[in-house]
Amino acid sequence: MKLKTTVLALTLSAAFSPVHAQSPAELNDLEIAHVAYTADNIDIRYAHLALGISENPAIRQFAETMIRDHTPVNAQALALLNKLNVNPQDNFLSQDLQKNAKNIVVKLSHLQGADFDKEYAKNELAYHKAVNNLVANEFIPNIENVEVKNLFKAALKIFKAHESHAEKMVSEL
Amino acid sequence: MNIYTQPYLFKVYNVFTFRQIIFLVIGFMSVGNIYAQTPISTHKIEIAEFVFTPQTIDVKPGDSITWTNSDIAPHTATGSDGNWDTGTINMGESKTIVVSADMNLSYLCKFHPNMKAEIVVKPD
Repeated sequence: MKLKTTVLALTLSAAFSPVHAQSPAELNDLEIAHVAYTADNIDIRYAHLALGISENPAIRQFAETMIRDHTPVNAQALALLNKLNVNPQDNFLSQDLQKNAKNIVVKLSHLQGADFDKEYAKNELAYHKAVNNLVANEFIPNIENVEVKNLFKAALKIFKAHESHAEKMVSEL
Repeated sequence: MNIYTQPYLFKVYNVFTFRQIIFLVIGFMSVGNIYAQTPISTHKIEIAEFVFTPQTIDVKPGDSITWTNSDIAPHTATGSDGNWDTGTINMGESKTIVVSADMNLSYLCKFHPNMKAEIVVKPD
């Protein structure tokens, strides 16, 4: 039992070791968790903006779905990190995402009507494509903790469905 | 005192027995009718990884269908014409509806319209 606990502790400490990464592939599990949490919150922020500006039912439905789906993903991620007794770690990629999101929010805020709808839909498609590519090709192969990896696999299914939904939304506007 | 030797009580006893017989006859008729019909079935549909499984089910009016969601994201099963709706099914939850003859054949998740499946309602 003691040996099992030691092995688990060593595995977790290796997976969550604080190394300052310079590329997405170098991020440790806690940094990856931080990026995912940040990316989720950014999309929720875009969705609230859309609900505040857009009157297009398709855009509003998509925005509501983003809030409805990203909220439980974040809740699951936090519950898992809590269970593992660790905290997500801020990193260069989370900061880049925040910086870009700030600019996009400013840009979207100045648009109205069909102009906003088109730009929001286009941004959602591009954002989900970029995040899905990151999760599938950089994060999932490099996550060491099995439970964290499984959560990312489940989340990727959701984000891919969002990408397809966004593609349809863009083509119909 | 022997109750059956009393004329009034004996009469009451006979009327009660007659009623019992009538109820039994009606009861047997009802049971016969139930067995003459196809039994009601319960169908289960899993929602996982943004897919309804099975994709198509054959049902009869009166059958029940239960959807269970194992995805983190909430889903619904909603008739394509909006005529029927399970409401939100959160992770780990199940929702059941009873099939009616006029139910729409195709349905989707109203939160994720790319998720589609089909119910084939066959007459009894």
